[in-house]
Amino acid sequence: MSGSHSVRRPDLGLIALKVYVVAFFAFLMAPIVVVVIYSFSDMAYTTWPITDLSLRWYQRMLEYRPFMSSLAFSLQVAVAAAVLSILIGVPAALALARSGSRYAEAVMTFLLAPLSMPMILLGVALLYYLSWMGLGVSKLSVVLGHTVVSLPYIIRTVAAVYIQSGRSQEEAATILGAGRWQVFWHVTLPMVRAGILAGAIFAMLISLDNLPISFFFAGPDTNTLPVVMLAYQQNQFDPAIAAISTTQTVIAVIMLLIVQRLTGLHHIIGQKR
Amino acid sequence: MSLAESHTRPKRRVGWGLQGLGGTLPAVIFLIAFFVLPLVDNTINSFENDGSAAAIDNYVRLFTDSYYIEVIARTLWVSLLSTLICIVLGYPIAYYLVRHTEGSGAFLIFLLVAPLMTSIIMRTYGWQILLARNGPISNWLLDFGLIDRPLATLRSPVSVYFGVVHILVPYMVISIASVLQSVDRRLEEAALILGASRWRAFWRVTLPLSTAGIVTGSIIVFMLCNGSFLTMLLLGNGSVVTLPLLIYQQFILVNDAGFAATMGNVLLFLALACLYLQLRTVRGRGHV
Amino acid sequence: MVNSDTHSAPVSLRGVTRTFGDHVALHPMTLDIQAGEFVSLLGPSGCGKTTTLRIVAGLESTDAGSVWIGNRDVTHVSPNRRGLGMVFQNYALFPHMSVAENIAFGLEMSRMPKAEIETQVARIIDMVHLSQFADRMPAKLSGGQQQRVALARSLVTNPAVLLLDEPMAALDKNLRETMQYELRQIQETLGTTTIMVTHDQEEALSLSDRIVVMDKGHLLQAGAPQEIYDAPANRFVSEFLGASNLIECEVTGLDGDEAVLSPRGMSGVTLRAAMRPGIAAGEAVTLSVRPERISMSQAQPDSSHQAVPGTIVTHVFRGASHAYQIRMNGVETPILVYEQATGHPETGKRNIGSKVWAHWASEGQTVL
Ligand SMILES: Nc1ncnc2c1ncn2[C@@H]1O[C@H](COP(=O)(O)OP(=O)(O)OP(=O)(O)O)[C@@H](O)[C@H]1O
Ligand SMILES: [Mg+2]
Repeated sequence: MSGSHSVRRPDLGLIALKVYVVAFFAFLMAPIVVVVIYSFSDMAYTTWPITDLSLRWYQRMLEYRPFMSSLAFSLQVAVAAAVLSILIGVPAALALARSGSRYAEAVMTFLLAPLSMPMILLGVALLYYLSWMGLGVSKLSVVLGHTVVSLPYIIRTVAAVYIQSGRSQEEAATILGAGRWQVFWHVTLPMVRAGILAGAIFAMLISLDNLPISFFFAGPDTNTLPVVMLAYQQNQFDPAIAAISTTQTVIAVIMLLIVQRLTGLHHIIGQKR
Repeated sequence: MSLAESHTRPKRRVGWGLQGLGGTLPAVIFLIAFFVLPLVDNTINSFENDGSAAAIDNYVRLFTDSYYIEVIARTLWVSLLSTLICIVLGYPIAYYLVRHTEGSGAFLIFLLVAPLMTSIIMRTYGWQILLARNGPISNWLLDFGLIDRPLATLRSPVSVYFGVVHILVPYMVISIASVLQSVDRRLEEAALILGASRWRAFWRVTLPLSTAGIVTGSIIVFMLCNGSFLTMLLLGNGSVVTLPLLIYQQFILVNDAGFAATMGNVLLFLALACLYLQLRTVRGRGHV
Repeated sequence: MVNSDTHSAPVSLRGVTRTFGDHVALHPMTLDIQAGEFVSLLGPSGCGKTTTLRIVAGLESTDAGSVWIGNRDVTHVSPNRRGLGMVFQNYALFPHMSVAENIAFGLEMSRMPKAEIETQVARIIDMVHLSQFADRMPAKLSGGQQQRVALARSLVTNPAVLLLDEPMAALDKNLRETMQYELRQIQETLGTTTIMVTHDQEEALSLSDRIVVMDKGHLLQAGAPQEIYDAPANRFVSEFLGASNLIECEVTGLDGDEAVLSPRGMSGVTLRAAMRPGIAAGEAVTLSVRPERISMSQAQPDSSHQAVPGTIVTHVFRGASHAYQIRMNGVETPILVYEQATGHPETGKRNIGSKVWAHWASEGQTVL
């Protein structure tokens, strides 16, 4: 009856789509959630179902020296590569964002090119090249390799923020009598600070997860966390690897939350690539 | 150049057209030193061998030995298939994110990028657990009587696709969503009014207008897939040998620098081709 | 014209309601539109015009009530099965299809044979004077041309009802007038029931058989343009449609079938108004008088006229007329008077500061 009260008809297509969306996100989350769960298990092997919970694998993680020393080294490398990238990347980003040069676009493409290269190729190439230069397997080599990959993230975020903020504030400062360096220090730098921080944090996340470059420079003093994890995973199948993975994720999520506070989540889209 | 502009840029030098690019010098020099030269060096290495054979010997070997040809073909095939799977799985999600989320959008985008914050080793490990013979998926399927023997997924190429698609599909979703966002939904409504069913409106209007997103997403996914080896290494158990994996194995087992460099150069060529396509499609759409 | 057997259908909304969250976009709305009628939905921004149109189209669902097209309940019928034509505010032309492909789209959906599609498209393209643009892409057309493509696309399927959402909003004034004329002509020829959303009152007045005035999701008044203009149902309608003088009065007594009114603030002036049921002495009423209904004279007019004395304070030449503001002692808002610019030496020569009587016939006023 076409009465005065009409209920909206169930839309089968939309329901199917929603079911699929749930399934998709379950697929996306499943392997992560399962590792987090296993990190709290009490079993020697990753068998199903889980019967008991414990923190023994976190304890094992803390006691297994290679995990801790490589995590420390990975963090050092990430910070060093980020600082180096900021030092050379920020001037480049600022210049490119405001340059009227017809080559600006080409230079930008070149500076972002490392993102499109297979990491394993970069790793092999850098190993032989740096060995030839006499650097070989060293901490400096790892930092240089990671900087090549970190740099594009810094340049991209800083340039994007700087382009967005427009010229008028700097011009206003100039009209108010500020000199070039004063404008840079009091206006430009505060404007792009969020971009620098966000870019640096992304660069550090990428660096922490990098295996293909680090792998080629692995030595007693230069093992990064992913290198140690890979070795461990290939030899043992116990959930210690789940504990260290979860720990690493917690570190990453904290970083992500910082980025979100600084820039808003939407900036992340199109960033980590 | 207008008068107003000439005030803001008084020192315009004509000739080199490099105004304002001085600040890029440190970064450019750094990348030439530690990005371009290593790749050039790698190319030189690829023409070197123990001295007994001709310079292009490595390439001859790579492109005549059926084993290596198969590896190259497999690399491309895995990337191609993964890209197709990502399109099919990713498009509905992008569509949903753009067209059907009101409050939940930010949360779903968070879920979409959250995996990017976990290490690839972690995700691979998760799949190893999930797809194991006695893992949860296998057990559930057994319990429900859907299969009568434990799954053997983990040692087959199927698990590689699980891992690869899991890692790459967010990029596809993001690429498609960003283009779909700019497709006016009134165009779909206009098609409906003109008598098109929702499916036909989708095929005739929405899909053609979002191909740009599919293309950019595909190039990114294809490119990233070409370069990945951890998934093949840990989930494939030797069932899917691709170029990056072979480079890794060569390095570990044989340490044949020249040949590794040669294979790396093939990868480089593929990457450059993708980069070129990417620049062309971006430029074709007019917003660089 | 497109098909010889032009058909049109009546449309009715019966108690249609729509809320977005806790915002009521449409209060229960009932409206009957006859076959072949041209109805305009008029109202300020956000009053629910587009929502109403989209409910008729089936693009928006209803919370309650039903929608009938051609004596069929279509409340649950999807938009593609309602047999409608619609021109969107930004035209919504498919950017990846040429003009001809855009127009052919609806015919393809109805699975018409290819050859027939071609003749139909050619015919309607001709009708909207776009023959030489058939192969152009929409982005390469001017605003007016795009609008005509949109119109052709919506009419080629010979819809029973044509929906227009501010179809002229993006055009400049001259083009808009030309297109209004063309639209009305085409609509009359085809006899298609047409519902147009607009917030341009002149457009509504000149095109429609009937105007529906809406505010805040309520239907305030529906009627022929003349009727709405001359006899607005309430203050909102009278102020929204054209300029209006609103004179606040108090009923001081009754005289036969007329009420005797005393305008607030003006001592010694009395006005009269036809009695409306329910008017009682002591009550406050508002008289609404259109500025062009008011005349001015130096001498006091006879008592058959409604008249108030005042002083001319401003004078503006408006092309077709002169506008004067007359201030009365004790009243804050001046009375607005339009005097036809006839070319007569007297018009437009009234001095600011001169004392005049503003007067009108009682048929020219409405009691609100
Ligand atoms: N999809 C929606 N979600 C939430 N609120 C909506 C939606 N569509 C319309 N509204 C609200 O409903 C009310 C009526 O909107 P509608 O678009 O019908 O107004 P309108 O009369 O067409 O206005 P305009 O002249 O500005 O186009 C507005 O307050 C609007 O904010
Ligand atoms: Mg509207």
